[in-house]
Amino acid sequence: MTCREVNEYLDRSSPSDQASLPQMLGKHLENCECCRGLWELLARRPCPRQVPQQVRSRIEHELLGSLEPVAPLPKTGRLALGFVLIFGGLSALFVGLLAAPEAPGVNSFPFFAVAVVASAVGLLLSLALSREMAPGEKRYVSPTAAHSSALLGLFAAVALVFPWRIDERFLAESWHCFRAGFLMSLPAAGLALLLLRRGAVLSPEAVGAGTGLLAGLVGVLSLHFSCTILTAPHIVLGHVMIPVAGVLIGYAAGRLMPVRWSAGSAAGPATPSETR
Amino acid sequence: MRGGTAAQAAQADIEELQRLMVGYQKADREAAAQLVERVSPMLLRFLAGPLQTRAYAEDMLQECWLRIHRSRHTYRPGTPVLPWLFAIARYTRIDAYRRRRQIDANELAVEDVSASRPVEATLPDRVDTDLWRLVGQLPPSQQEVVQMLKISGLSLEEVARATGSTVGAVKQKAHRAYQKLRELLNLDREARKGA
Repeated sequence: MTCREVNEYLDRSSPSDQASLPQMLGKHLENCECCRGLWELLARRPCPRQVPQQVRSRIEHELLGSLEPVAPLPKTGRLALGFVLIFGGLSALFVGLLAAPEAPGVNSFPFFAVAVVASAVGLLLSLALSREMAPGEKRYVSPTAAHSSALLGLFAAVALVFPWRIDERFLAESWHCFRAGFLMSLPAAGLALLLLRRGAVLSPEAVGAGTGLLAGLVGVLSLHFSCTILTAPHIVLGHVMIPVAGVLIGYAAGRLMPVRWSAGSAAGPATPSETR
Repeated sequence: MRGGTAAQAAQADIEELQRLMVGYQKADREAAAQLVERVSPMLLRFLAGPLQTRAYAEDMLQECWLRIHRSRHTYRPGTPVLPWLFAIARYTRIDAYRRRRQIDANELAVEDVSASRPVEATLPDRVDTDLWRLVGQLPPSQQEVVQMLKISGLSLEEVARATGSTVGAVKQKAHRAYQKLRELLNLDREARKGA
């Protein structure tokens, strides 16, 4: 047995729970001073601290004084469906209002490639946001990794399938699209925040960034069906920058938010001194 | 490995906590009181960590229960209770640290104290064991994982849920922490030999 295997063993069990050691482990601990020291250290699990009666009574008084039945939060799937409806519904609404069927390339592969990537990111993000609403939910990927790979995926799709050509009015047209797409993403952000308020948001920065990204994708999809300029530089600057801005604004808003709690009270939790 | 009886007892504990939590959601006063009684010592130990005074940790415990109370509807029946509780406790501790750091910084700026109070003076009743002393020297993220995993007795999966990360990331942090603890123990041994 090696020190690395001792680490693996420690992952599955605690020295303080061991009545007898497996032979291999016992032998290794005999010979390896480092592992023996670590094992002995971790075996000294301190006893749970006793909570003074006075503190416990105060907690019980606070809790029982305002105890009312509550309905548990709906399942992750149902919450995710809510985000999908916001994302899909608003995108469909704007596409219906603004779509330009005569736009060049609407039926082409590049057009569908980006639409599919943006929709897939929107669906996955809906699921991720619904998981952020309840503490202790299982996560498969960190929000930072999820948001960066979503944006990179979108950039890559645009960069690979659209031609790189810069027109004379590139900046002005891109700014026009960015502004329109940004305005279209605001209702999505507002509705998503309303839905998020049903849960308990522990990490406002991650939730803010995720909401900004989802809202920005509504702008991307809406512009994608209405914009007639199908060049990579324009789409990157005028369309894909909307979710980028959404992530940054959402993150900053989350960071500035004074309270972590959207659930129950907008004022956030009272401090213990206020409860005495 | 845990024996069959120990595993059964742990399972019974998990189910009991779930039952109490569901009762708490249904406004069962008895279940709420029992939950406070059962979980508070564990939360207090986690909130206190290696550095906090008892009084400060007790303040955090009350704040933590207020947050638990306000977000009790976000617990989903049938899911593990401990990761849910520890996720809330974790952020209570993070917020308390931030607040305290701000207060300390303001106090120092106002009073223009050239040398701050010695750390011991703020920690009169901490449990000063080797374990706490060494765990206190780990980086905060590793400290948190070792505390949940080895002191509070949560499983890898539960720690991953409580910290909002993946099992792989928790494992990596734990292994780095074990390695660092081995090094710290070695330094300790050498210092003792030198003395």
